[in-house]
Amino acid sequence: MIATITLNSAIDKVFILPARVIEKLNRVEKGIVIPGGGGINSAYTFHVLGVEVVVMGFIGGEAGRFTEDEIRKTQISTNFTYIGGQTRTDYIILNKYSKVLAQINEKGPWIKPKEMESFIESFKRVLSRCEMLLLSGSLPQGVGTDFYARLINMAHEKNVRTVLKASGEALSYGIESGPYMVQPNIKGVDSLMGIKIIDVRKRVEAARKILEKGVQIVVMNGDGYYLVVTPERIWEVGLPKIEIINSVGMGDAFIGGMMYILKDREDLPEAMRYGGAASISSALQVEAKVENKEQMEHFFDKIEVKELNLS
Amino acid sequence: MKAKDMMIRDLTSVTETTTLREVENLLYHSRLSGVPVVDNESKVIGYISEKDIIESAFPGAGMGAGMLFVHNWAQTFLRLSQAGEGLVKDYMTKDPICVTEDENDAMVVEIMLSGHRKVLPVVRDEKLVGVITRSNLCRVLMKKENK
Repeated sequence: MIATITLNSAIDKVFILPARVIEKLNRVEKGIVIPGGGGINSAYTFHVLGVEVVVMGFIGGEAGRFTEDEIRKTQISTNFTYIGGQTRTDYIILNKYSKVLAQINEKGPWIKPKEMESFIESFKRVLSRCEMLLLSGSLPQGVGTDFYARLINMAHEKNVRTVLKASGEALSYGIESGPYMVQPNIKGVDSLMGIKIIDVRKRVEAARKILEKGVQIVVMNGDGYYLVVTPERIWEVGLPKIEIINSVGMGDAFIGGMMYILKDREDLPEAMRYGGAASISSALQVEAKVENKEQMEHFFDKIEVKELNLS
Repeated sequence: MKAKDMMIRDLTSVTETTTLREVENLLYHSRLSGVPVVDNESKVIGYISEKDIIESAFPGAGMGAGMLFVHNWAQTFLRLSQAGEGLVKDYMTKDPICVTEDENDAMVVEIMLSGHRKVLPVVRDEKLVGVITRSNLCRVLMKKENK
């Protein structure tokens, strides 16, 4: 079983507008509401690939109930911690060419100490039965920035491999605990590990700084590609050019595809191919999730995995 | 149809040392009438329901008898408010009936109806993998009928 942790889950309201700009009155051409958050998005990939997955995190209010109900419909296992606050709502505005015109993310609820304790209790029980753990997304208010680091340490005590997808201080503290794989969220970020991430070389330099903390694999997002960096090697995973419908869950699907292979065997090239196929497959859905395994497999041969020599 | 097709894959549960106040809060938010009690490895060892919580203030009264005699309501309410600090282990039903994922639908219905159970835990190797609620059971069986 794989457990995915989405502490600051959200419902994503996606609006598709016919206009190219939003600085005027706009009427929605199509709108959908879906449960969102990194770990939840990745869970859909595991589920499509037939992996037993349990989704954990905090939920509250109507948005929380919607999140739980929608996930349950898919037969993905849930083990949420219920809170007095409200699960946040994110607004994603796309034009009809699928370009993100705006994305507005709420901060999320304030988590009380008692709610955090309750989560930890459930987390410990799930750890005793899972093979791999994904911690993904931002932290809600009230949760210390070292929270991911604490969870990673607990997982290590149970010999559970961990994958961290985060940004800012949650990432900085988290990597100090030496997770197995890290995908820094670099959306809207100029620098990482004190390095300006302006090109491939700088991305690799930042990735190597993360590897120094005991991390074994770093995944960096690029424009139409991913970089996968290990202490010994660097790969570029090229995605085929397609008409993207919704890019929001591409990185989550990539991590999901990679973990699917890595949970059983250390076959990194195959993991990257699965990650690439899942990523591109999710981009074809307005719901930003992999629809089915067949659609994913269609892209296997179109994922270009090449080793880079940047030394 | 098997239990795995009828269950909600929800692992919401409590332990023996959870307080009744925490259980009440959990039941309120989760919209469940009861939850499995598990050990540290998620093995189902008990079951606690809203009925157990209310009965904690009426020791020995038995709510199913059709009549309830209360000497002093003020005393009873006081007892109920204090019951929040009680621990699950003192009020839970021990070793509850559970089914495995492969149990057939007829057996599931029989177990739920014969024991007046609102929630039936589903286990694999004794570990909780989901629950079947009455409302979910009705929903799934009606769908089956419509096919």
